[in-house]
Amino acid sequence: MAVNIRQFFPIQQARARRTQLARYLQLDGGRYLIAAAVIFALLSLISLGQTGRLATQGYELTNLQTQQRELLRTHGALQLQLSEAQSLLKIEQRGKALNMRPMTPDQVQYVTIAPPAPATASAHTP
Amino acid sequence: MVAHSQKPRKKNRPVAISRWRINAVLMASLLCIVAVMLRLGNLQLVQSAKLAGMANSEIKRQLTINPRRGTIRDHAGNVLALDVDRESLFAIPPEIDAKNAPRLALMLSSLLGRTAPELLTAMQDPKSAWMPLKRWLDPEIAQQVAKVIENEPGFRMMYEPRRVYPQESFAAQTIGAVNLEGVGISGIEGYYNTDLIGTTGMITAEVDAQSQPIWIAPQQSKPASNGADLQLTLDPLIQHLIEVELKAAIDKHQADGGTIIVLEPKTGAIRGMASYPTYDPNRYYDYNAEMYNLNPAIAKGYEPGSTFKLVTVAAGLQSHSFTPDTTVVDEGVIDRYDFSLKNWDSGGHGPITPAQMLYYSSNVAALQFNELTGKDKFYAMVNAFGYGKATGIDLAGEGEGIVKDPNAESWSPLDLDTNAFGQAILVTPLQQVRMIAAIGNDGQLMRPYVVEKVCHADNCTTTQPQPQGQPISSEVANTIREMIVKSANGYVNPVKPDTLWLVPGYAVGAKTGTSQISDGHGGYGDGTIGSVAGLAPINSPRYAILVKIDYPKDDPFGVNTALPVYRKIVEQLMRYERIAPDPNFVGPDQVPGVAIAAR
Repeated sequence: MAVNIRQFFPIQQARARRTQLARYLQLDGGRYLIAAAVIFALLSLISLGQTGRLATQGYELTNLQTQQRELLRTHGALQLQLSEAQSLLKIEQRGKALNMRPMTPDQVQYVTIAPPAPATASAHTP
Repeated sequence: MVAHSQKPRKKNRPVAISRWRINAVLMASLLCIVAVMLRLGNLQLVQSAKLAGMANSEIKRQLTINPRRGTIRDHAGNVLALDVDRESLFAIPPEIDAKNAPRLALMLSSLLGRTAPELLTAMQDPKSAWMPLKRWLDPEIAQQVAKVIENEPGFRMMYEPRRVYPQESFAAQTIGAVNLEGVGISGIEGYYNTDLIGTTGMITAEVDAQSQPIWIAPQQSKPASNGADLQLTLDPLIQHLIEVELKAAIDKHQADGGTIIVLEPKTGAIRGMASYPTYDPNRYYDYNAEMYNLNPAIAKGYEPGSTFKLVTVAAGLQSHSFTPDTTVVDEGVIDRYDFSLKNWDSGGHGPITPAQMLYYSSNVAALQFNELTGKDKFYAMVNAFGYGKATGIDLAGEGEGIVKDPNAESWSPLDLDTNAFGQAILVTPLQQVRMIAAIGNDGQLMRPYVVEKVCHADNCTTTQPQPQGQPISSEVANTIREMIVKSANGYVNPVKPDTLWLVPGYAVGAKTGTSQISDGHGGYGDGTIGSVAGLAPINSPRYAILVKIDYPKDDPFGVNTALPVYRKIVEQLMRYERIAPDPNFVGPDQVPGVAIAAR
């Protein structure tokens, strides 16, 4: 016949475990060093990540600035083309090439638009 | 049993190191440590600043941010001057492959427009580390050059801002030019250089191998401020019209040059300003310096001749020295101070009024009217009209003209007589057109201006018209306006000036002048300047116009050289302004635009 010989003192056991746990949680010098190294490594990793992301953004910024410069150059070149095309001398030359002639005074007809007639007296006028 | 005679091994025997050896090693270590400490101290403390500076100079750069020079536009918004980035080709002689240099020089010569020996010398110049071969290449040429120098060491192509005038010589003397260093040297470019040029920016930062800033490093930056954009008062159509008409007149009369100014009397805004000969500001360096530095319309003085008789009349009427009905006797020739003064044809017209004096352009009558006015009142009027001083126009290089001081020893009473018909006095075309503009603006003198808007980014400042005085009353101005309408019509029909109109359909005012040109020895040479100053239309004038033709070869008189140009310009300006012709101002056989009334 099997007999449970273990003493049944749960409170004492719990107390003993608590005492042991405190011992485990105690940090001596070596553990402090390891903890510091881990924290340092984590911080370095975060810093590295941030620096890397910043560097990537820096390159993106540089690329965007290059693009901006290129676009401004294109804008300048197009503006130049536009203003060259707006030259009245060239417009006149193109007109002549199309057999167009300057207008003569007798070809002009002026249309005088009469001002609107004043409104008739309203019924409300006494 | 074999006996072993081996020596017993020295087991667990302590190694004996002498004390002096240990001390020596310790001493050596200590010395090393001290040396390292000293070196460290030297580097970190003594040479710290110097070494930090050296390190910074390698990785930290101060980069300049060049501002964009402001754009110049006309009244309608068309671009007249702008900055465009163009590629320039530079050589680094020490890096160029000497074997390839002659071949490259030959290939580049046709593209760059320079001779091969010239290029080769530049490419092999031992004293230069950086040699510009050609600046501001056209984009098509730049592409071809890039192919030629591809994979060739010692060549660099870099973008540089280039000032470009897309309409070439259009309004060139008014706009001015920018030199190769980007500084405005004349015209608007010179006067507004500080506004146009902007402010240079700066970035102090660590840079990578391509000299691009590394953004992760801390940096200091001062952003560049681009130059202001300018909008001019110049109307492109008016400017084009006067340039075309001026060129045609100069060709027709084989003249040396000429000037036309169109000004708005009510505001002083310049709507057109042209002089010929002119230049292309894109390559100003191909012309002589006077061409691009001096705008004849504002800088070149001339004796105004009979157009100055308007000042004579204004002075007399304003000071009540005579009235529009006062007469003097014009005998064609008159003697004053041992000199014989005469009309252009020596012909007399009997007793004539100021209006007739203008109509016949009588010198003899003008000087007598001036004598009635007297020197004090006459020169007070000359001063009030702003002669002898700059008008204050916003253009670089304005002249002042020359008016003799009546209180100076060099002045003589003869000057009062000759000044009456525009001799012995030097005025600029701008002063003269401003005078007639004041007559058109009821006697109020306005400051002429060419820039109507200055914009720093979105912040624009509009130029406000600025009165500069009231030399004559509105009544006197009105009287003179009536006089110059008759004078204008008299050029068409001298016998019956009221029957034909200078510009059919419109009442316009005009006074011509024929100026003799000083020979530099107290007399006059053979050449003349024909001019006309006028207002159109005469009632509420929109434009004051001055036409001046210098040294015409076929006809010396302004009435034959400048007046036809004036007439053509006014005709077209009235059409451009959509002012319908008035049938009351049309003579027999004259053809105006046909006016029809709409329902």
